[in-house]
Amino acid sequence: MTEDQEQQIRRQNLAFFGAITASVSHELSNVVTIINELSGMLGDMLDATDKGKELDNEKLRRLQQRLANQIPRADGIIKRLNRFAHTSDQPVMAYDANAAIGNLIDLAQRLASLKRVKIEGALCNDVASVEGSPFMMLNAVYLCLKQAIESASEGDTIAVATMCDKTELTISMRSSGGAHDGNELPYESLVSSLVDKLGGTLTLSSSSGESRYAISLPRSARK
Amino acid sequence: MANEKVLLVDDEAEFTSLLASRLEERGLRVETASNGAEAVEKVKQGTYDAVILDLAMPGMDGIETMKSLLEKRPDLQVILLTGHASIEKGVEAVKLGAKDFLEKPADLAKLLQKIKDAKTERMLLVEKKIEEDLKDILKSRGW
Repeated sequence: MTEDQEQQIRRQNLAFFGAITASVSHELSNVVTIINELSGMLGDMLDATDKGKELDNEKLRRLQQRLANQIPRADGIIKRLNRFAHTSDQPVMAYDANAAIGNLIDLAQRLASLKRVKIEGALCNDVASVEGSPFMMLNAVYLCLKQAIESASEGDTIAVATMCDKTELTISMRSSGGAHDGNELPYESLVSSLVDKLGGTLTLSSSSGESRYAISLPRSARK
Repeated sequence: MANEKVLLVDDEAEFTSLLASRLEERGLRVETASNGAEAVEKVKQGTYDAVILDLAMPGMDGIETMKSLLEKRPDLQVILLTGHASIEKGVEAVKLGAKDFLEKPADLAKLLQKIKDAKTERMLLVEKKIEEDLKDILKSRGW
């Protein structure tokens, strides 16, 4: 791997971390915005009570419930971010690829929903234990998803699946938009470099208007 | 406030419902839309003193929606709500024709003031247009 490629990977790793945290901050901001309005409504109710209006217990209960609804929502967002953040703990570590990819799919749904595109995961139920860099694996998968989202049309679905055998993990992505016409895709060289660094292979293909991306990775880290 | 009529556009139904209630309690007439296309349809059919528009929405985003709205109603007063914590985006929106922008979570008192200013601005534009139309009519009749 050339120094240029190494540098490109370092830049991409930082860009990937930035993109995910920016997206999560938008999601959290939506929750805070709702809490702000609920707090404002409670304030309005107290102001009215100060002016002699009787406290509406039913309304108060409904507001409390709406406020409570935001807690699991925010908790879910924070847990997803936390799981993602821990993928960069070690350059090489043992991890469950299905859990990591499932979490990434959840994190990338916001990006997809802005284009009215859906990501569906068909990940095997078993633990897919892999030794390597989960962060770089996710980075490669994210770039493929980003590529698929950018070339998708409204209403399209991107399917993500994993398959494991004793030595290899294969992550495949299928998108109905942006069939691969043989020309290099915008993120292709970056994904290739990342997959290469992980000791794996990238295969791009298209048929019947569908783009397919397949990343195969060794389940044991290279010595 | 004197019954300002506003259109609130955001894909977060819980947010639009809460903000609409708070604005209505303060005497405003509020309609809501959950996306850009719905907002464009509503603006075609009704008149609003201000449109409060979320910047990040699925499908048509806030900027695209605003451009489409202003194409149909150049006198429309659009106030962008941005969750981006980005002054640049807000400034870009103002350059493209937004009346103003506010960062989410928005302070209600500030939002009410901006709606009031938007109504004043719209009334001035309407009066100016009537005046110009009248001048044209009088001119065409040799006055």
